[in-house]
Amino acid sequence: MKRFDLRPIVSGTRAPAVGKTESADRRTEPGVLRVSLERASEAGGYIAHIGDRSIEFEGEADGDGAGFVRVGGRVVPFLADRCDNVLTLWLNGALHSFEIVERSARRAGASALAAASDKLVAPMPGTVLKINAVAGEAFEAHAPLVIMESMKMEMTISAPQAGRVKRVVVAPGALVEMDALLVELEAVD
Amino acid sequence: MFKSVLIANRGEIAVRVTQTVQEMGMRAVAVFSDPDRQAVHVRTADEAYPLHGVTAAETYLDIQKIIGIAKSHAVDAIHPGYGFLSENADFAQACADAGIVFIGPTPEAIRAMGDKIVAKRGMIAAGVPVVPGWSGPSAEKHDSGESDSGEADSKVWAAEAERIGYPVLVKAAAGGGGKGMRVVASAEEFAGAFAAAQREAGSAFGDARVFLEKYVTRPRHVEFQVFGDTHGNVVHLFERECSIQRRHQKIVEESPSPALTPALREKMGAAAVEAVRSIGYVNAGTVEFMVDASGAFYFLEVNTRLQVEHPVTEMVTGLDLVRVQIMVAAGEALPFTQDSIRQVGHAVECRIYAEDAAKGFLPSTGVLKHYREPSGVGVRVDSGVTAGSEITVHYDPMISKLIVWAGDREAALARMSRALRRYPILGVTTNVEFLANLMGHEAFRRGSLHTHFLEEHSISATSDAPPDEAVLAAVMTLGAVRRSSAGQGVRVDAERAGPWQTAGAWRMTS
Repeated sequence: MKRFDLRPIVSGTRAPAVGKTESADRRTEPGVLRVSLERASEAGGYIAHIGDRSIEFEGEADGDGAGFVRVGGRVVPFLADRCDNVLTLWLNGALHSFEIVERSARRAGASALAAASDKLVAPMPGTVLKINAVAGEAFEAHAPLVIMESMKMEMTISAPQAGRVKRVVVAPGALVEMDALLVELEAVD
Repeated sequence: MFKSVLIANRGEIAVRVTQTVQEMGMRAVAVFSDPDRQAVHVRTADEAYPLHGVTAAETYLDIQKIIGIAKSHAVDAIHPGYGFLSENADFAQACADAGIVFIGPTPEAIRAMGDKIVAKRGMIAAGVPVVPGWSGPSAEKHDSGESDSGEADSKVWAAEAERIGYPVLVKAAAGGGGKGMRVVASAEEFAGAFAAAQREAGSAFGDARVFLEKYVTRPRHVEFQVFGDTHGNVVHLFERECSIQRRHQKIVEESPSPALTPALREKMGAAAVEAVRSIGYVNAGTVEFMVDASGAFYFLEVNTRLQVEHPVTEMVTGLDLVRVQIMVAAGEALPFTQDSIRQVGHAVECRIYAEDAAKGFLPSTGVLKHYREPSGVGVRVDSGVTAGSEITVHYDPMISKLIVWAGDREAALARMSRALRRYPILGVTTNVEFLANLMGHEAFRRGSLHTHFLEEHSISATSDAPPDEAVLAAVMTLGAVRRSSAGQGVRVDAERAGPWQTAGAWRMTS
């Protein structure tokens, strides 16, 4: 029996895709779904265990990750794609993403998030047009620190809160990837 | 007629033009940049030659390279598609100088209509209604190419903006596609927005000139497809409503417009024909209008190319516009008259973009790991990608165009909704779910459209309806197991082939 812990990745305005994210299993943290799959028959029958529920279904997936499931008479086509620890499902025209949680990595996520606010990163791949940030200088909240261009559109990257520029990492004209570090910030004492 | 046509473009439009060229029994010659070496437009062509380079500037925008390839491979005519060199008068002239037919209007017509200021003056002379505005201190100054960016000059512009009355629109003279355009709500914002529009216009078009226009509140964008030939015939092929826009760029287009009465359609069609007849226009063009709530319409601009949204016109008229373009370029007369063209049924086009509707429609890039197009009665997909194709920062993030036709608008929207829900794309963030939600939106269904529709109505970027829990459980367990059976911890190399392609058919082992 294969067993996984999945955490729904909430993107945009969508709430977690699964209603019961509180697992009955006390050993998993809230928001994480413990799921497992067992084979029920040679003919493609399965039982999925999710939290404290069990669902019988039939299904098949081809070599491309495309398949269908038949649950209680309803036929639903799907596509599954797994890249590293992110599982993305296309289901009835909607996408649902899940992080496959490694138990040792459970705690790492929170601290990475907290540190993110002292960095300005590229929200999209593109070219750095102009940098208003100067190392050592203070700025107000919403100050336009970097101006980028992507696909011929200008976009301003503003300060999330007041602070001081610690380091300017990129130069005007630089071609950067998405999430590339642009400017390091620090709080004013 | 021509024996060969070079298509100076990439992506879906290059594939689209290739199809017609081949149907007409001609050789379709493709050109390609380094990243496009294995692109669909290369695979579908009869011949393909490299442009050697990566950026648009060193490939699809390089006039000398393209003309050079055309000359050394005995090409008779060049189709520019849209974007890139399609509205570049110097390119049209370079074709003519090299003895190659440019499939489009004359360099003079492109130049006249490409300059929005000159175009607007021409329309006023032809009696076509235009939006109140101001295009600079004097015509002479523009013609001599003097810069209008001085600070004193900015004050003169601000005064004119005050006279027209806020809100005012600052637009690029050489512009298009919403680039170099700024809405200015008040006098305090004017100087900053004016400078930003000039800067953006300068970097996008190499021409920093801008002009002012009265900002019409909640207008519809309705455009007319027009066609002229070298025998003096000019007709229109009815309208397309393109009011659904984000960042001033269209994402949904349809024909007929839900707003046009037969009387208004006739009046606007006649104005569109007059607009291009007055300049002796030849080949395909589009006359864009703004229509306000009272049904008053104002000329916006003439696009001297085949439009992205041309398929909706093809669907309701049954015509192949690329075929007509090629015939006209070869000197033939239009194969129809105004009275013989009919607008039948209803067509809708959705532009499928690699972008995140939840984050202000920011473009996204990446490899299309899964890509499967919907099909069925009345469903057409114009695309230039396949599974494994990469959406890069170098070119437009449009993945494809999904077009449907049905007997009436309601049936067409239902058909579009279904098709969007059967269009899986994994690997990049797309606007597919957003478009599906839009198709179901009450105000959209009612046809109550205007160009700020997406700002006024909040449309979810992701599916609103939660999936059935049991179905999701089945799929997520099957999906999660799917990968691990091929070896957990193996990094997926998102290159040309889909990640599952090498894994073979999946069989569960317990």
